[in-house]
Amino acid sequence: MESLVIENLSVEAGGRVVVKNVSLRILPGEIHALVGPNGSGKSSLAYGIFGHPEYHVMHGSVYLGAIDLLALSPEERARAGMFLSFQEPPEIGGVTLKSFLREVKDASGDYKTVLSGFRIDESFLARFLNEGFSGGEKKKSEILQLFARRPKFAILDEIDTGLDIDSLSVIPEILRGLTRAGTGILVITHSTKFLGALSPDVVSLFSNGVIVETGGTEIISRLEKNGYEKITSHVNAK
Amino acid sequence: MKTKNGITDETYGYGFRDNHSPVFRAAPGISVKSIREISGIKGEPEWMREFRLRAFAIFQKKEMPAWGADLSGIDFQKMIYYVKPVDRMARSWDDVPEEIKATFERIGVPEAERKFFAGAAAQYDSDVIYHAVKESFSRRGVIFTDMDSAVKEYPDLVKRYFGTVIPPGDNKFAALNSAVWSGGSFIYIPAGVKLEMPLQAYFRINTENFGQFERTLIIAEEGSEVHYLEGCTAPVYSTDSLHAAVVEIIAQPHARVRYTTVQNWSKNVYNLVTKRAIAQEGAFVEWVDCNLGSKVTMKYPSVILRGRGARADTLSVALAGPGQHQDAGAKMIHTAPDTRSNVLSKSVSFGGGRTSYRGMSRVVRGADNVQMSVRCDAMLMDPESRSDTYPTLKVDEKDTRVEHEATVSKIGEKELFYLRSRGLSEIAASSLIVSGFFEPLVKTLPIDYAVEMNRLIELQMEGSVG
Repeated sequence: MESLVIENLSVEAGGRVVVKNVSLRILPGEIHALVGPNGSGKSSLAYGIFGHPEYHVMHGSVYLGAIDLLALSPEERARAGMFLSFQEPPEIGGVTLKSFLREVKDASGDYKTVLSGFRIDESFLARFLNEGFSGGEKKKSEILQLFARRPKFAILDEIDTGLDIDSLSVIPEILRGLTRAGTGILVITHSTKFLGALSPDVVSLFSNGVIVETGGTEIISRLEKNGYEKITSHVNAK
Repeated sequence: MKTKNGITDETYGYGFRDNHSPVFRAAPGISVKSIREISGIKGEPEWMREFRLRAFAIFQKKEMPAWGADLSGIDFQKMIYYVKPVDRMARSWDDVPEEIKATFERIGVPEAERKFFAGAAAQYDSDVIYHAVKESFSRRGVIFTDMDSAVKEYPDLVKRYFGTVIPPGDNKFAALNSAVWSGGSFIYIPAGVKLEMPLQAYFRINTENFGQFERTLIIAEEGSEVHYLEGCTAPVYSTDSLHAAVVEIIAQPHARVRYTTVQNWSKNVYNLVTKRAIAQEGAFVEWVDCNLGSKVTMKYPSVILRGRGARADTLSVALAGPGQHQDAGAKMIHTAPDTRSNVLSKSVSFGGGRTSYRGMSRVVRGADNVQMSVRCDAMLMDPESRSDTYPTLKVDEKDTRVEHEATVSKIGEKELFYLRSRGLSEIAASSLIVSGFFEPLVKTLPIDYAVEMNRLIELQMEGSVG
């Protein structure tokens, strides 16, 4: 399995620089959490890595193993083994979740293993992709697709928001199932509570488009005590 | 091969032609003399010849429609109005001339017939060259033959109904069809007979500068049921062809008729078709009208709800890409009480294509307790494309429930990027969005047709996005 290596990446969107000189190295089988307040540019980083047409990479590089991801179209990045779970996935009418899962499924993928943990039945799979889904249902749909794709590397943007307590409680376990098989995961969140349960291998604190600190779970404890304001303003002032 | 519209043979898939030599080919142009000639070759009775000549006089007097799509490219005197491909109609595919048979094999018509149709017809230029109905149905009194044969074999039925739903004076193209019509289907379903399997007709144009004018008449007697499905394709030519059909349906009390069209003409065909049904007491008529091909389509399937408690649904789907204008819609005329109609129109414009929904909802005095619903959903794939809605509502009865809803959605980068992030190419992503949008129609089709329809959508998107 390959590492995801981001070097010196800057991203522009809507005439603003939203990601500034970010470097990250995430190993296979590792869960790396990117934490930071809302609007700090976490999703922009994910879009930049994945080639969203409205997010332009100004400079820097992103490699999955030896593959230069920035030279590829979004679909080629997906086929190279990347996956991006959306914070707010759009609704696609007339296409059932079941048929879509079949369409995007990788040969090694299997979404059925996560059905019972989420208490998902056939009637959910028969609904149109994300159409009329609640926030939590959209996240379940994203996780089913994650398992259908079986990527080498996944970026999960706010996968925890909207999920009910029961569903949330099974997430750390099923993500560990993926990392044990070698998948590297970048989890984007602002919830310290979710991070506590997830217990990521590495934590990076993100603010205003830059990584201000990288370390272990001790960052989470500090966040829980002091909040974002104190920590990021302290670092930004330095 | 590139044509002036930039459409390649590869993306259309049906743009090939064969080299079959017809047994008769009329000189271009239309006149009293040429109409007499066509009628003569067909060996028609006097009453039909008179019908044609009366219609021609109306055609000459009628103005071109001043609304709708641009029809200025049509030159009536350059058109060939009659091409007789073979001497006699075949009842078995083995008796169809090799070249024509190869054409239909390539389109997949005989295979589809074997799989799931109660009967099938194939028209090639002006004539139906093949017709068959499964014996189990003909034994129950079902008649499924070509319109020309019906004039001779069932003159009483034809005389009684032909031109009664759509008289020649209805519009210029109905008049033209009435004057020069050839081919089409004649269907008679006796009272109480329910066809579990659909009947299929396939229309193929082969000749350049050609006009195809088939004429279809369906009579569903009391309590009967039938589903008729038609498809069509044509070669890609640099000059324009014309398809001006007339379809009349009579649904007697409590009959149920579904008429499905998958229109996939090449992008050099003007498709100007008049379709209308009469629904008697408790009858149910459904038009499922799908327009993928053609250069210009103007088609507004109509139902006159004439009997108490009659119901009618029209499901209209249009896809317009580069150089195409799909002006489609529905008309619902309620002349009886307790009648209900639903119109659902779904259109997609891409690559600078144009779609229009044009509809008429009418309730006459005395038709109380009517329910009408019209819903138009348009999707625009890019800023160069266009969609318009022209609904007309005329209600002369207070006790009417009317619902009208129209939406326009713009498919943006967001949806495409989402699907691409799951490994779908841009074409596959756009096609999936369009197929999903058309789902209400696709689910009414036999499964093979649904698969084919999704493939056709993908081919069309390829021609533009790729």
